[in-house]
Amino acid sequence: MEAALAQRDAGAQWPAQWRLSQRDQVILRDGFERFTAGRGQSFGDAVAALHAATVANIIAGRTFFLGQIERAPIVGSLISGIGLVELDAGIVVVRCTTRGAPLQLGGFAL
Amino acid sequence: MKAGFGYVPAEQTWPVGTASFREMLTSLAAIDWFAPPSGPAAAARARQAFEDFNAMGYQALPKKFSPVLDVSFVDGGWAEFVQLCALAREKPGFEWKHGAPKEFTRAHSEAHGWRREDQTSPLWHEAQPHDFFAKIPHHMVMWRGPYLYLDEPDLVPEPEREIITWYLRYISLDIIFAVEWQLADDAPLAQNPFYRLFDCYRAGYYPFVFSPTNITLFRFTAAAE
Repeated sequence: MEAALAQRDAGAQWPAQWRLSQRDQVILRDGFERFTAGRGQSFGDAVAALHAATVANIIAGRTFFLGQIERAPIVGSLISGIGLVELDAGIVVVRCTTRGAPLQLGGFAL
Repeated sequence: MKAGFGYVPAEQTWPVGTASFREMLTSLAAIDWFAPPSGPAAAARARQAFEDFNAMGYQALPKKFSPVLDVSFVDGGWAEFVQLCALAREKPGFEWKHGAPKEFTRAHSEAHGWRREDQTSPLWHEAQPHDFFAKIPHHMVMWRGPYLYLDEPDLVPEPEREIITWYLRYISLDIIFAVEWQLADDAPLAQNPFYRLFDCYRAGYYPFVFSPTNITLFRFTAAAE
């Protein structure tokens, strides 16, 4: 967690190959900062942080249940399809497109 | 091409508003999406639908909706539709498409004392495909649909598929607003501004909103392959 914070303070960005919109980058970053500032550990903490970031950055912002992977819920943006899910590897950022399997982008960490 | 919700709306039952939701969702699932409109009256029908929607919004939120609209029509095929979507994605004005309607919906829900968090909701893994809400343990009640998806996305090549998916998400947001409106007050559907807005899609026109006053209605002149 300390290493993640240090990297974030150095101006770390989400990987360019994730092709996040500017809005998604801001909300994910804000969400991650809230998650780490609150010493979040669980997926529920991450969802709460993401929701708080969404509300803070979008008027009447909402988070949505987007689907599931391996019996784990995905929560995120309906418009972009970017969401969070908890897998064996930890909390992962995914992109939901169709009803099929979401694309796993990488860990929820800066 | 067809798009749907992953279930047959006419066969589902909801705690309230079943007749309204069956009619609303069935009418959307029946649309031949991204195909040329049929009939000479389609343009007037689409324009009237959007103007009616806007007028209802203006009556409730005059600071968010414009009293007058500058409506323009654009014809084209996939190349022009993709180009218009790319332009909309770059311009912040398109955010109006869900920003103002979201506040419109929220004002209506508050006026009727409706709150999402008060809704009876199954845990996410127990939810049925047609359930509107799901609950994450130790967290809030969330919308889980209805989201509109292409029935056969694999038949659509890129970049059309990615653009369609993006556009359908905005329509899904309209649908959620329409459902929330009806859950707050199950009045006749004609009074639901989002149901009125759906007449644009039913007429074969796709709105692009670049500011509260500038509306572009796109229609396909060649059917999607």
